[in-house]
Amino acid sequence: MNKAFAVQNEEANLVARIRGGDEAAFESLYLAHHDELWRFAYAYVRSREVAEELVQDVFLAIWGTRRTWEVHTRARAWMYASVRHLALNHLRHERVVTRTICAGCHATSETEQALGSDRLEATTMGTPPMDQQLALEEKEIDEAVVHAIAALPERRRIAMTLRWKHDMSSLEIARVLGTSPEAVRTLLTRARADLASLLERPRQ
Amino acid sequence: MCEVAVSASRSVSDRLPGEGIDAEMLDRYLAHECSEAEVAIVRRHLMARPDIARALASFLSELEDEPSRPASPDARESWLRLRARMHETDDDSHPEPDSAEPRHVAGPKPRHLFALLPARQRTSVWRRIVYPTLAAGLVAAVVFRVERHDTEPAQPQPQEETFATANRERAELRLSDGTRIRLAPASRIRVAADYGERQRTVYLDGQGYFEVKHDVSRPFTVYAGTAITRDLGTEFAVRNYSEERAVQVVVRTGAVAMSGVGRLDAGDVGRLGMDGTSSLTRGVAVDSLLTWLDGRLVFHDAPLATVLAELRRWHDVDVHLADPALGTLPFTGVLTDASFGSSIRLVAATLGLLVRHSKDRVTLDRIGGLTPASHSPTAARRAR
Repeated sequence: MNKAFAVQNEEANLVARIRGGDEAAFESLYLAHHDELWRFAYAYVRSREVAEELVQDVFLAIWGTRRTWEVHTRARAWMYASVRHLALNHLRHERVVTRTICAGCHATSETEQALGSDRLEATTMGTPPMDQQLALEEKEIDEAVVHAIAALPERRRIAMTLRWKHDMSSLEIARVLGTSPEAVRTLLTRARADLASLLERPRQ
Repeated sequence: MCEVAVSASRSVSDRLPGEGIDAEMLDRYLAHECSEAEVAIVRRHLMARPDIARALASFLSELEDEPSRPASPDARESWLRLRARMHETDDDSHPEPDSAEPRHVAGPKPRHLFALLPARQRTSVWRRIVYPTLAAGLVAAVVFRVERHDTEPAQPQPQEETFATANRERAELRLSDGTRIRLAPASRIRVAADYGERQRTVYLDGQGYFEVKHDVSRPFTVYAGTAITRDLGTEFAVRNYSEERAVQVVVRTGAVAMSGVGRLDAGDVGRLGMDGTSSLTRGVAVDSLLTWLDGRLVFHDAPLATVLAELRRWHDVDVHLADPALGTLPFTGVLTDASFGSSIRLVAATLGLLVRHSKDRVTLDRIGGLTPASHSPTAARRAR
């Protein structure tokens, strides 16, 4: 039996137990996905507490409707899609879409300060000229990166994040975004071009 | 598993500078879909171009806000909160945090002056994740302090003094004769009781840099592991971390005599292994081996395990490897002591690994490694 099938089988098993009201199975599902879903939610809402609440809301919804929980797609993609849906809803209600929807816009003064002090330390830590040179270059890179990410449309950023940070296939990403695998491949092609142009640095 | 990404028709702009890595190969590298041969090509490229490796690390971390993101809530505690919401009951259980390890600080007016250097590292998100309470116990200020250890009462020299740095700490020691010793993190120096009388003897565990006031009538000697190094008018560094099973002496100016190796002059590096093997390399650019004095760690094809051991000393953060075999991956690059986060991100991006961080540990894993959290079919497929 191949491993992919085993994992899928195990998940199907878990889902079946949850539908039967097995709280231990539900706990396993939560513990297995909590960290990655929280990270994913945090990238939208920028609040530790709100991100946790959103993730819990998704699970509460599963638990509340467990008897009729239909997982047509794989459970993982479904949970990501739900988190994204709730996060976008939350942002609409907060009316802060414009300032938080892109990863690079560090809009709140708190994160700006945290980021600022980080950069400052990174650039002032060094010793004589050589380090200053390095620090200058690092600062330049950081700024270029922040700008590049700020300029990314939400869907392109999510596609990149899910592929490189959450290890998802084009098919799974398509399910999260509610689109076709072909559209995801297009998004990723553009994402690759973004990354390539960012890394296109002349050799000193 | 992945087709060879060579296509004559690919546009020039789609190609990264250097050794024929294109954007598609990089994408598959990040998604861990490359063959071993392709992985080797990308790694070589990233190590040759640290600026690109850094840009990549920065990009990957900014994608998910890593520099400014707080630690995620603990999954189990979060589960308890969810369970409370499910049952609509209150169930508060916050475990008591461990108290910070007390540090022994005592002693009368010292003969030798010992000063901890101000910590340059910010208390990062990473440390808050890993050692929330310990971090609060470490003060980042210049402190004059002497640690006296009444060790081995049977010793004929009761006045022997010991000075030590913990992980993350560096210190400067000025001995009674004006000799200056700079100590790296996780290092310990014992100064003989009769230091300065007819001889000057110190014992080193860890890493130190010695600027010795030369005096032929009172030879200065460092005992480190199996190696004995005697000053002949010099500045030199001795490295003796027991897990490396070898002592390394680097001479910047002047000369020293090293047991089992012989005379070392400026630009020479001597090594004496615990197994008795020795080597002497002449004409080394020794400054690159002494960058730790400025808080920079330079690695050339160093095994990942060695890099992580160094990060543990400099940042007091343990990084686990999901698979011990990863410890042999060679890493080339420059890390600074400014931030653990940027260091580990750079290492991970260069080697194509994933940083997993939970409340109590940081783990480096292959992307798509089989863990309880990875339920994707692609993960299982790739982990074959």
